[in-house]
Amino acid sequence: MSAFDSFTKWVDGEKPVPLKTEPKPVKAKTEPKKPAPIDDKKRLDGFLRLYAWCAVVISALMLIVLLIGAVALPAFASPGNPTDNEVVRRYVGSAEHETGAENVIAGMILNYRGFDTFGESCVLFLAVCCVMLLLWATNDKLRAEAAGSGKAAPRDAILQNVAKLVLPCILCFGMCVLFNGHVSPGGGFSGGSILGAALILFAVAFGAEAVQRFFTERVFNTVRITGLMIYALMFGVYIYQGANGIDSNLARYIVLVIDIAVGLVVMSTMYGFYSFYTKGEL
Amino acid sequence: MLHTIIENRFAVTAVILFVTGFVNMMVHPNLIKKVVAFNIMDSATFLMLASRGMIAGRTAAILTDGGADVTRYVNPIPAGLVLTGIVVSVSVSAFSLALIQRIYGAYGTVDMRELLEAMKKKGE
Repeated sequence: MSAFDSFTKWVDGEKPVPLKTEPKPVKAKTEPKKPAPIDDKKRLDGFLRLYAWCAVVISALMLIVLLIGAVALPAFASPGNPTDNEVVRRYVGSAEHETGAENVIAGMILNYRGFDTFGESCVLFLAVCCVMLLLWATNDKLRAEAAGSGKAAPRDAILQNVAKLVLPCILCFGMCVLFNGHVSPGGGFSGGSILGAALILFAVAFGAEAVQRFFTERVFNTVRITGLMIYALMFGVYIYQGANGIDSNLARYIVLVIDIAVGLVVMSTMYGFYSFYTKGEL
Repeated sequence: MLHTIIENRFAVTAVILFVTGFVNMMVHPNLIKKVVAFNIMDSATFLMLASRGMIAGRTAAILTDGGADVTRYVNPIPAGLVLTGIVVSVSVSAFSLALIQRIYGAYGTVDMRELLEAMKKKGE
């Protein structure tokens, strides 16, 4: 039986017939065992050197190919740029009365390409789940290790006073960016990041215990799951309605609500990253 | 030649950044620096996308004073793609850094070389 036959059998789901490999064990027996570790090290060294050379050669080739491509592109900011096509005419021309959003980018990512942004939110959700799985300090020893000496250090007076001054401004700005995402620059991702940054500043200045008074693990999970659910529900309803010919005011509210849902997901994700990296729990 | 390079300065910069990141990601033995290099590659991609979307004399696609004059705005799609890219980049960085933290906890090093040796020792 040839190797190909056993391979096809294996593909068909049958138990593979072991190939005849008689000469090999005999060969291994005759070889002396002692110099093996040194040999391994030499082989590893040789491999790493070869690897580095190959990497450099591949990168040089890549640089040349990409540079040729970059130079052949139409000039930067020239009117003949290939991005100036019928897509921009369609989006800019009809986004306002189809999605109700003056910010065409927000209208585009939350409406025309809503599935894409839903996938993005899911990626963030999964990322924070993975970080939780990997860094969750499950027992007291790990928790003490993760917290390190940061817990014992006295809180900084300058940081606390500055945070008292700055935090309300950051929160207001974040809300403004989040709620005006459909009419001005901003939206769920940027507004959520700003709110998450405010939470992180709060945790740094006043200690994680202060955040835990209102942002416990339960709230964290509720917020991020509710955000995704609202998104899925709103977008599902929107698609189920046919997505076309919806009143522009209604479409504007849908965009706004989806934006806020994305903002919630992003905010809890940002704070979750910070919290799990610093102390291994929420 | 120089003229073309200057005309496409952002694309050329993006290519150089991308290859810098790629080389570092391939050859640097430190895992943290691999993540840094990966982020440099990401930034190069964003620079490329954003610069391709730019057209002289036009502004970002945020309609002001109710006018939907198509010739005044640039394509919104590169901006959306950059947004997607940033989100994915943040997620991948967070995930890989968490993995590296676990590796450091298990082996006490983030150097590829030492890791290979430590893993072999553990296997024996």
